[in-house]
Formats: sequence, C-alpha cells, structure tokens
Amino acid sequence: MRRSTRLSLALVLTAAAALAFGCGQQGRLTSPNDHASALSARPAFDPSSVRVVAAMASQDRATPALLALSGVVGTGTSIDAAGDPVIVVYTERARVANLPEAIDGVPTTVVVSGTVVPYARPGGGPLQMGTSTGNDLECAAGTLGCVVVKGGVDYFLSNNHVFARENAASLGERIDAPGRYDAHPICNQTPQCANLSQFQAVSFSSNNTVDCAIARPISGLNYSAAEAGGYTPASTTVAAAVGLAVKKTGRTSGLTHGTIEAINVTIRVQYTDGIATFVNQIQTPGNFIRSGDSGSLMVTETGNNPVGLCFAGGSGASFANPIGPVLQALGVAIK
Amino acid sequence: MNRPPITDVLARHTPGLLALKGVTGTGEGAAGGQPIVVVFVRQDTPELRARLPRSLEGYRVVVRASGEVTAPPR
Repeated sequence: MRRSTRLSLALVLTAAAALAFGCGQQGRLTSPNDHASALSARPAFDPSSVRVVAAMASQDRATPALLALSGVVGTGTSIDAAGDPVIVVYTERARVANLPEAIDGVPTTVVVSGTVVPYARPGGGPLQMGTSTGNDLECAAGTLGCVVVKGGVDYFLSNNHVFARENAASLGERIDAPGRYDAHPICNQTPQCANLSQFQAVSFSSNNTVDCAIARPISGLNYSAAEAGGYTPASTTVAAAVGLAVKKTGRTSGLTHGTIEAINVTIRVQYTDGIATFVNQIQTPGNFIRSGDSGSLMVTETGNNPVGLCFAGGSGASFANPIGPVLQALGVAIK
Repeated sequence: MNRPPITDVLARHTPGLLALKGVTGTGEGAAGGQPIVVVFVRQDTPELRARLPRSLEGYRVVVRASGEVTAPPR
C-alpha cells in the first residue's frame, strides 16, 4: 500500500475547490459535454494576477449558494479567449435554471460536465478489481483484490494493512475507491465503495500466514468481479508451486506477469508498528508488485485460478499469502 | 541421494538463519529441476555470504537479495 507521510485533516475541500485547482492546472474533464473547446485557445492562465485572485474570491463566496442549486456539481475560475477572468459553473445537465450571468461583475460560463466520477472508473462503468482502494481514515492506496462471497453476500478482498489500517481499524469503517492517496488533490476524500467487515490481525509476536481483510460493498454500488487487467478470476484455487506462471492486476503496476520462484517461504516483514514474521509464503520476482499493489490477487497465467494474495515486497522479491489460508481465515470463497 | 524432506530441513534451520543479521527469510526454490534452499538477504555482501552455509543436509543453498521487505512495499 502506498501512504502519504501524514493524513491531511483538511478533508472538507469542496468539489468546487478541486475543480478550481484542476481548471487552474488546465485539467480536463472527460465528459462528452466537455466545454474545453471554448476555453482551449485562451492565453496563459496566471493564478497570481490581481483580477484572477479577485475572481477566485468571488467564486469562493458564491460557491455554497451555487452548489445548493439542483444540477450544479462544482465551480472554478478560468479565463476566456481574451484573457479575462470567468467563473466556471459545472453542471450535470444543460439548461440548469437560476444560474447568474455574472458574480461581482465577473462573467460566468457554464460547463456541462455531466455527473463527475472518480478516475478509477473512467466512463462511469462498474468498479473493477485490481484498482485503487483505501481506508477513509488514512491517506493511502492499495488494491481491491477480488470479489469473495460468504453466506450469499459479496465482499471485496484485500489486505489488513489496506482495509484495516494494520489492526487499528474498527469494523464498519468506511472504505473508499480510489484510496485517498489517488485523490486530486492528493488526500482529498474519495467516494465510498464499502465498509470494513472483517480482518485477520497481524501478530508481531508469533508467526503469521495471512494479511487479509474483507469489506462489504455499499448498497447500490456498481461493481464487477472482472479485473482491470482484462480477465476474471476463476472460483477454483490452485496451490503455489515453484515455476508456476502467474499474473496479477494492481493499482500501481497494473497487469504484470511472473513465475513463482520459491514456496514455503518464511519472511520477516517491516510494518509501521514493527516486524512481523510470515510463514508458508509465496515468492515472485521483485517487479511483480510495486508499492500500492498490496491486496492484488495472484492468479495462474492460464486459467486465472487464484493462487495468492500479494502483500509485501522489497527491491528484489515480492511476497504473497497462499490463497487457501486467506479464504479459510475469513470464511469466504472466490465468487 | 538420501536426504530428509526439504520442508523438514527448512523448519530446522530457518530460526538459526533468521538470527543472522541481514537475513530476511528462507524458502524452497528449484534449480535444474532440483529443490534448493533459498536464503533471502537484505543485501548480498561477501561478509554475509561467508556466514551462510553452501548446503544444508544435502540441499544447495542459493542466496537472493530481497531488499528491505515491507508491507506496504515501498
């Protein structure tokens, strides 16, 4: 998992602020109704110019009332083709009523952004596995491993240190997708995807086999058991063997391929709170996972059969829990 | 070759190997179709190699530099 040095407590940055920043950086929205063409030929945007600063102040004052209007999703400050400041109002649809033509004398322009979705789901499609996730109480990002099932209910599988803050979490805590480390700006709050349901504690005094947790998707969430790497894990697991060709999809390195180099591995792993010893682990090359890929599911290259749950690594080796004990510890099955 | 199962060999020798400064883990690998003992080290140095066995109860020992193993990996 990837984690910023410290969780920013400035969590209540509005969509307006985020969009204003994005606009200043000439960030693009991906809606088909993107208004970028009207703004594309503009002169350079100077955020320190007196007129732009004044326009931003007006924007900030007007934003709460604008966001209260039905159909408004954000605001921003930009400049028009002549280089004059404009206040941008982002809307879900065309012809939103009651929008002002100017604010404190600064003209407004409407951008129909559509419903804005997190970057992890371009196009607004279902949330896929192998993508960014994290506990809402930390600025971090790990990976949604796969969908598992227990008692007819679906859960997302990842690591304890991704979902459950290395043993520190309480059941029910909010799980986001993407993780806050992947927010724009970084550490901003991201959309909720699930609530923490169960985790296996990592011991710092006795041997471990698994670093795992599950979270229950929130009601109405559109998600898929398919991995972003373009395959869907099979429900039948396969035991690790030296020489077995495997792959995984992770938040950082995406789809990677490798070969299991060692099994029955005992490995000492550095956590934030100390060193934990893991036994019966699986080792793949160091480039199989990267920081942020924690929680990704290792499957067989041919057949997509789950083999392990990736959780740790160094520059020269990556390590995964065997999937059998993971499923057993949580009482779940691969969906 | 008459030798004990590699699982037993690893179980016997892993505690002693992990007690050596710089050793991060052990495991069972393969080379040339034969099982080998893998010793993971933070950094592969001549000094550490000199302290590691070349074989254990009939199994070849191979050293692999894992780097510092972290969760999250950094």
